[in-house]
Amino acid sequence: MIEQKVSEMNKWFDEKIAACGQRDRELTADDRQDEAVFEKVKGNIYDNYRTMLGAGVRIGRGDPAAVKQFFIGWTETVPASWKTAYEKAKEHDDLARMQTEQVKLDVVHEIREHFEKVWEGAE
Amino acid sequence: MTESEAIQLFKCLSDKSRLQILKSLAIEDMYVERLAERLGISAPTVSFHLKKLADAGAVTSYKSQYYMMYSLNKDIFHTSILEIIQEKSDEADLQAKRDAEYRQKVINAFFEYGKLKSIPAQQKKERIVLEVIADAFEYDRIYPEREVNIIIADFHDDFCTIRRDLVAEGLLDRNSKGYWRIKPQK
Repeated sequence: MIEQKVSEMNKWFDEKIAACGQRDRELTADDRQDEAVFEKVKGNIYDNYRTMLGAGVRIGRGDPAAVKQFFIGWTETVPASWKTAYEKAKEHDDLARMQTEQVKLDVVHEIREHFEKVWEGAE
Repeated sequence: MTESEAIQLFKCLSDKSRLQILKSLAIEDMYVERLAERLGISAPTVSFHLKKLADAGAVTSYKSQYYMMYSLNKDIFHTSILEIIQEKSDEADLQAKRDAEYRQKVINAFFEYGKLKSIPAQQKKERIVLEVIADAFEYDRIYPEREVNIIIADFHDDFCTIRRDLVAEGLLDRNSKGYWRIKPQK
């Protein structure tokens, strides 16, 4: 059961990573470097969380509840510094930095939502 | 515009989205959502680009009712690239200081109590040495060759080589009447 969920998540991560890579290439070819960087950043975050899911499965020894606890925990601890950076940028009205941090936070939010949807009924 | 400001501006302009934003603002002042709609990119991405453009001095903003309007800073685009290139470099003072330090180092290495120890083999160093020797000559005065030789001999015995090199380096010039010191071009 859990293998199926993990496989579903990994498939989703792979699709996301591939889509980011594709957009990155398109934007770079279109001389939109900064937006291409955003895609690179997003791709890296999907990739990191794909790895974290694998680690969660190993640490949680296949127990869906334990895996969920680890994974959801990481969607809170990892972006904590990004949230701080976002708030600091907001204080200084630094829209460029805000956008950079927001892109990262949005990806984690999306990952968490998708994980919760996929994981439903696994426990 | 300083060198670092010019670099920031050029970097900022080398992005298609930002160029599209500027093109839109060249038509009329716009707010973020309008630009986003027009260019097909998200409002936060437009804000991101506008911030970079504002930092580079390419756009300015003002409040109009509920909206923050953005407009093209036309002054900056009236500056020609030639004007930017001709602007004194931020690095110029630092470079001049480094050059002066290097020059003094060469002088210290090749002169001892006012005498030239040896003629440098390296052209760059020889040039510095020759400039020091050329300082012994006044401007607007013609020296007979004998006097030139005596002046150079105060520095080094090989006055023939040095006299020839002073001419070759454009520090002295000569004709049938004698030698004279060439004023440096400003």
